[in-house]
Formats: sequence, structure tokens, C-alpha cells
Amino acid sequence: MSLEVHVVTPEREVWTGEAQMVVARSVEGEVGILPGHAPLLVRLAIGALRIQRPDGTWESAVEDGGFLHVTTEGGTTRVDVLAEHAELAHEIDVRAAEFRAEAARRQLEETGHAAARAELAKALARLDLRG
Amino acid sequence: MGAKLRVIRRRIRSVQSTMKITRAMELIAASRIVRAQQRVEAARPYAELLTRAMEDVARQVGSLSHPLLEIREAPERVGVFVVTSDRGLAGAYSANALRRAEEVVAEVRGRGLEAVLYVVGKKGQSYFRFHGVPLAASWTGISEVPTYSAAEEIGDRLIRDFAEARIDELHAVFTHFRSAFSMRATHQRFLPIPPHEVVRRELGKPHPEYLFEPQPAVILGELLPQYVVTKVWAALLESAASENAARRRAMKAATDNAEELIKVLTRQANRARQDEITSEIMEIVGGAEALAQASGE
Repeated sequence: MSLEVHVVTPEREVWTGEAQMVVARSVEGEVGILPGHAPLLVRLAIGALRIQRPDGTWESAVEDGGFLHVTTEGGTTRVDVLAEHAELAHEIDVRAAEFRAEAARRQLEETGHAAARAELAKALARLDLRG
Repeated sequence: MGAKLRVIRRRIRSVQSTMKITRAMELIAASRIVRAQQRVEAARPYAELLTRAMEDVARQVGSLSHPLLEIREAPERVGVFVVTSDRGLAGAYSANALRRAEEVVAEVRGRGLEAVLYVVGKKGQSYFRFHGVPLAASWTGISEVPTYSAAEEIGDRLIRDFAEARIDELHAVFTHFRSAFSMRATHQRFLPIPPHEVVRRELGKPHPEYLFEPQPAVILGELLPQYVVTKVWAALLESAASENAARRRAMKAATDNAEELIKVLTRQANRARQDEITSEIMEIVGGAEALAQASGE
């Protein structure tokens, strides 16, 4: 048994393929999805998304919130990640993320807006993933 | 060089430089069609998966109920969202969308309701300003290469106006892109969301162990606005592809025309040059004859 994974955003299909396991961050905490998982529809927090390929290697991505939808039909478990924005680890522009984090931090200090906090979280999630 | 020939040559040069511009615009539009078409395709999976998620919510709770799905009993105002272009030189692209919009507006008024206009593109903006129709909102600078953040902004505004009962329905007029040679201004109701779009097939039995976080009703309340934004996004992308296809076609026609005109003008120039030479020869011959006659006497 394996997972069929689709990571999509309104702008593009980010990653599609088979996997052994998917680990995502929901608003309630980390969720790990293995084949045969019970159906699930949860809101995702801004954070990392990790996918273990059939050969055991990991694909990492970052998503800016959205939904995780798991269904099992006829022996295949499907994992849909519907994110507002998502990038695979190798697509992340570290310098742009650093710049974003800095700008967001400054804005957060000045205004304290929730939007600035979310922006900072997005930038930091990217930097985190690239270590 | 004679005056006539000079005038023709000047015109040829001017047509040539216009042709350079129209050809460049044709090539730019052609490359953008491909890109826009890819973006239309790339946006489909998300919309599809979003609908799957909503179907699951519907199955688990038995039926869907949400303000964005409800038909209002006594509507007063109807929003009409029209997508046109910022620039001209795209044939009848904007004119067709605007004609379709006028039909929808007339229909709304025919029902005794007030039409509230939301417009994308400078062409639409100036059209309605010229006709003295006030706009509730307009957006420019996004028609050729739309961004998702623009779709979000527009979608949020439309949903807010609907939620706060500034409009009771929302109809969209945009240009459906079938192929580079076939596009058509179409009209769709965006709000309230037609339930058959969200739940396309017979609902099965609910699954006993389905997990929702937060509750299904809350999740639905987040999925539905997202669905509307996705529809606005698709309308912008299809319109952009159509606009570029229309512009490519218009610019190709202009370039072909210019080529034809240059051919005709070149022929005229040749004839003018020939006429000049002929008259010069005539003058010389006439002069020589006159000299011969004079010396023979």
C-alpha cells in the first residue's frame, strides 16, 4: 500500500507522486499520514511539509497554510495538500526569505499587525527548512 | 528626385516603422498566449481538489448550508463583475466583453433590480465612465499578466460586499478561452455559489471515523470563499489568455496590411520614378531636337 500525494496551490501543482508517509503541521500540531489513514480534513498551519518517497528519501516543502485532505478509496490513500503558497526546499530563495523576515520583523515592531506576524512566520518557515 | 516620388518614399518608411511595432506586438502576444494557457491549466488541479474537499464535507454533514450558497428571497442589488483589458489594439476583445456585460445589466434591470458594477481593465473603466455608470470598484494593471494576489484582493472585496448585503447576487462576465482562435465572452453566476458546482455527484454514506479540525461547518466557511477566489482567478487567467490571443490576431492583421500597403506603395514609387525618367528623356530629346534644328538653319 502506498500514498498518492498531491500538493497544489492556486497557481500550480507543486508536487505529485507516490509516497510512504507524509508529515504536515496542522493547527493542532504535527500529523503523520500513513497508508490506510482515516479520512481527514484539517486546517494547516504555516510550516514544513515532509514527504517520504517510496525509496525512503525525503522531499521537504514549506506551505503557507491551507488544508490537508486525506481519503481512502479502494485501497489507495490519497493525500491532498491545498496550500495558499508552497515551495519545495530547493526552490526556496534564502536571500529573499531573509529579506522578507527582516522587513516583517520591522513591521511587526512598528504596527503589531497579525498580517506582519504571519508574514514573519512564512519567512522563518522557509529559513528553518533550509537550515 | 521629384516631389511625388519623395512623398511616396516617405510613406513607405513610415509604414515600415509601424509594421515593426505591430510585428513586435504580435510576437509578444503570441509568447504570452502560451504562458497564459499554461497558467490556466496549472490552476485547474487546485480547483478540482478544493471541490473534492467540499464534497466530503457535504457527505459528512448530509447537506451544505452556508450564506454563500443561499439564494436571497428579495434581492435588490446585483453585482456584475466585468473583465476587460487595459490597452486597446486587441480587436473587439473588450468591446465583446462589454457588450455581454450590457446584456447582463439589461437583464438585471429587467428584473427591476439595481446593477452594481465591478470592473477590471482601463477599457471597461472608461466605457462605463463615458456612459455615466458609477463603478463600485475597479482594478487596473493586471489584465495582461494577472497575479494571484490580485485575484485574492478582488475575491475578498466581492465576498465582503455579498456578505454585507451590498449586493445580493454576483454575476461575472469574462472571456472564455477555448483556443488561440476561438474565444467568447461568457457570463456566469459566482454568488450565491450554485450548489451543483460544489457537489457534483450523488453523496455516498458518511464515513464514521471522519476527522475534521476545526468542525465541518467552520471548514466549509473557509473552503467556500476560497472557491470564489479560485473562480475569480480562473476568470482573470482565461481573460488574459483571450486578450493576448485577440491582440496577436489584431496585430497579425495589421502587419499583413502593412506588408500589402508597402507592396502597393513600392509599385507606385517605381511608376513615379519611371515617369520621372521618361519625362527627363523627353526633355533631353526635345532639347536635342531643338538644338539640331537651330544648327541646321
